[in-house]
Amino acid sequence: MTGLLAVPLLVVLLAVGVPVAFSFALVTGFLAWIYDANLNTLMLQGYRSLDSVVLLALPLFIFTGYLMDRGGIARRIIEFVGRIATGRSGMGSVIVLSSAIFGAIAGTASAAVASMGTIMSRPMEERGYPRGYTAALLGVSSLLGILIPPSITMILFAVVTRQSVAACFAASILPAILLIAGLLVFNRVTVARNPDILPPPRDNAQSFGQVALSALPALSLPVIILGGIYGGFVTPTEAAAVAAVASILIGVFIYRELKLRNLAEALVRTAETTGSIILILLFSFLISRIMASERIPQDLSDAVQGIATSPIGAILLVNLVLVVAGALMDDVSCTVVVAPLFLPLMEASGVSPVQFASIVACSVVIGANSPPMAPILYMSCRVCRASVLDAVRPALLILLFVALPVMLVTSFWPDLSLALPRWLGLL
Amino acid sequence: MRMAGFGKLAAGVLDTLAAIAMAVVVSLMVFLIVARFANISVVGIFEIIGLFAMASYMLGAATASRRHQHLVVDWLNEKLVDPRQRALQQLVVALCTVCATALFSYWTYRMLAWGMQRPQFTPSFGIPMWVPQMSLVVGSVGCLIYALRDVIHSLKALRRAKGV
Amino acid sequence: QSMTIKLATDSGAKGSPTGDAMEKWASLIEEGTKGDIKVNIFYQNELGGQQEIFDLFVANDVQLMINWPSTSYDERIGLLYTPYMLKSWDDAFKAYGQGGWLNGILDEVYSDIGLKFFGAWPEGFNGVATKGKYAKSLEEAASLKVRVPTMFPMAESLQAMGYQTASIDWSETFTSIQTGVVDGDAANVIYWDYEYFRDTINYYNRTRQQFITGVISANGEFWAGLSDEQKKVVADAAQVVMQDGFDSARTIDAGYVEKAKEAGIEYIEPSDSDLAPIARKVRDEVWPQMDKRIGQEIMDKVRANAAEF
Ligand code: NA
Ligand code: NA
Repeated sequence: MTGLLAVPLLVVLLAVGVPVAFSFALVTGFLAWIYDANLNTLMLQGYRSLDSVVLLALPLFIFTGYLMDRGGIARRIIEFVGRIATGRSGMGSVIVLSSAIFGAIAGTASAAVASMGTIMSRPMEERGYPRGYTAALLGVSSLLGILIPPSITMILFAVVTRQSVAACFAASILPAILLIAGLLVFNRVTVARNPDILPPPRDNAQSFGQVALSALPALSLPVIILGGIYGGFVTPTEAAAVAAVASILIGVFIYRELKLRNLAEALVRTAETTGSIILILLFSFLISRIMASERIPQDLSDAVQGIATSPIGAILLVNLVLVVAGALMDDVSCTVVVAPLFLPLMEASGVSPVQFASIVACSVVIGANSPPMAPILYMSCRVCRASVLDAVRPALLILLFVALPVMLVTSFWPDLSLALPRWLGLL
Repeated sequence: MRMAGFGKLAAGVLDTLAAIAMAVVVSLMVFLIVARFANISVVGIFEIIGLFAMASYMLGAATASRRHQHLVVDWLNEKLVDPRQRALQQLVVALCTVCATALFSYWTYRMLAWGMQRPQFTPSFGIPMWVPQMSLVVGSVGCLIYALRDVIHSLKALRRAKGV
Repeated sequence: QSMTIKLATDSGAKGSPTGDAMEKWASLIEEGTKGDIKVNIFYQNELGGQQEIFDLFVANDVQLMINWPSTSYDERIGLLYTPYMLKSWDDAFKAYGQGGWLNGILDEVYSDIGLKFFGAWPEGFNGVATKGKYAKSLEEAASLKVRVPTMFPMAESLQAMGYQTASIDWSETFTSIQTGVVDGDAANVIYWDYEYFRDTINYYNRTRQQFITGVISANGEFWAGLSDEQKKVVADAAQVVMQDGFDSARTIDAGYVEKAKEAGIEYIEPSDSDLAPIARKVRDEVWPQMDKRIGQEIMDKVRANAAEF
């Protein structure tokens, strides 16, 4: 358990101002030292984790985001959205709902953060949203994709625990809707309490028709992305490449705002943004791996099984462990390594495996955004160019008032997750 | 003066290579889709995409170090106003970053050294694995060099602050 | 002296046939060495994906494995995936069982990459799982686009069988079948298609191009460091596990066929005569490529021992 010293070490390094990626690297070094990790394979594992097809969506969507920004696409989409979502909280709602739609199919949080963050962060700041708040809202919303099917995390959970994939998918839909509702309400309340936030921009010199017409090519972009995926033309990762090409074409030939110089600049900035995020992912992944290899989750599980006496206590304790594990490990490690350890205890406490699937998914949402190990929140800060410090408070508030309650409701109200699978005849 | 000129050249090379690598990734992804519709068999194209993606990630990481674009929690930074204390903090951060990037470089070296004992090749094109892995050398050593630069800069700043 | 070692798999959760086999192997070792060797088990994805665990294994971070090896360290491992080399379960038993002709070749390949080969962990013949329609002939296959693993000669085999192949990451395969980017998943035994894709596929066509088997093995460095008694315990236990595998694999595979049928998947089993022309075509097209990449010498042994189609 000396490994848990990694947490205070990380906090100190971050507080001193060592870049997040390099703080993670030093923690990796600390863990590799105390656990005597094999250095021949340490970085090889890291290399394998980066050499992933699904991860390609990250640079591709960041690139698209830059192109949309430079090519005048983002501006037109936002002007159009402004005509429809007229309320003051409109733009925050757009982040939540688009992340939900997007995450539904793409399923990886990094893709949702990359695409929405590059496009929405600047316009939101212009309307008075603090960048830290935008980053936090996006960080949590981006994980909706884990709860909304299809989701590779849920597939892995189903396979590892030998449950029906469809049942696990169905089980997390209602909790996802609850989470969406919670985020929308939270956003409304935040906006109501913050007089600096303005409604989306509205250029009254233009009629709705003019705005719509001008936005038409820009609006074809989401249609191309989602239509391409749902229409069976491309995989989510490939859709990111199509989006990049489409935004070049629209920016150069239709809006004529994108120049060759912008293109080269966008390529370099994309590599830079991706590179800084990739190092955070790389080292947080290595930390996860060392923990898994040292069976820290198993030790934790044994400790918990020892103290849990009543079913309610057990469920609460497992929730707590999942949140802590989520703070230290990536979503796949949590789902595949940690969750199955607690399945017997949860079943003994009256929680069915399918219900547990949605509890685990909720815990991943929290884990990925709770500091000090909060890779998705950090990624969101980097993409939105927000200060981590400014993002931590709103993130914790969202987790405390929205994500955690949703997880607890899911834990103690079985019908929320089981009703849909039952209705579909999957249980 | 000569140092600065070299730095500028290195920066230009890094940027150009990063842009090219990114451009190749995008183009090949598009080619992959076109090929599927045109029924052209492209077994193993992900190997090539992965190779360039890794290069762009790592060139990007080095560029981010050069331009101080790595994400930082700027809590202490905002608290410290005294130039001497600030310079000292910058020095501590730079030294920690040197340690981190030195570890990163060393682990990369160990990976490559072990890879020489047990060489691996990609499944379709048989590309030796050290080729894509070289990107990690560029990334880790690049970040290390820029961290050393930051140490020198913060030492200079510290000396200036002392003089005040 | 006592030690704690790692036993891992790349494919098999706790409670799966492979998971059970690992538990048996571990307990036989712990009993046989009276606790001198303690075995920690790591199920699928616990230490990483297929490639990562194999890296750990070759580097002696993991000491024992039941796995489906990748060809990255030695292309000759692709021998395992020779299309239409075996025709029936009996052929497979003869090839992979104790003293089998394939075992000898694999033993050699394994020792060249520093591993100790114990034997096969059979799963069964693979097939093509599709949504919407399936192919009975080469012509019908041409209208189907299927996802294939990247390992040589998986894609080459499917192409020779008339299918269009697509490179899609495993994690995007479910979505891709569901939305229609591809029509299905090829080259897996029914277990995988049932476990991962049963909610989206309608057909499983047992085309039998490969007999899929895992490998039971140990890291060579770890092996060399064992005392003679310990070696005997570990190897004997591996033999017990392998024998269990051969006894039960067929039943387990048949069990998944039943489960797939219950889940509404239509199961198609082509006869030997249906397969013969396809098998001959695939051999004619793919085996010469294998001569080049795997080696004439090994392929000559394959030609001498392979089943008649
Ligand atoms: Na999803
Ligand atoms: Na966390």
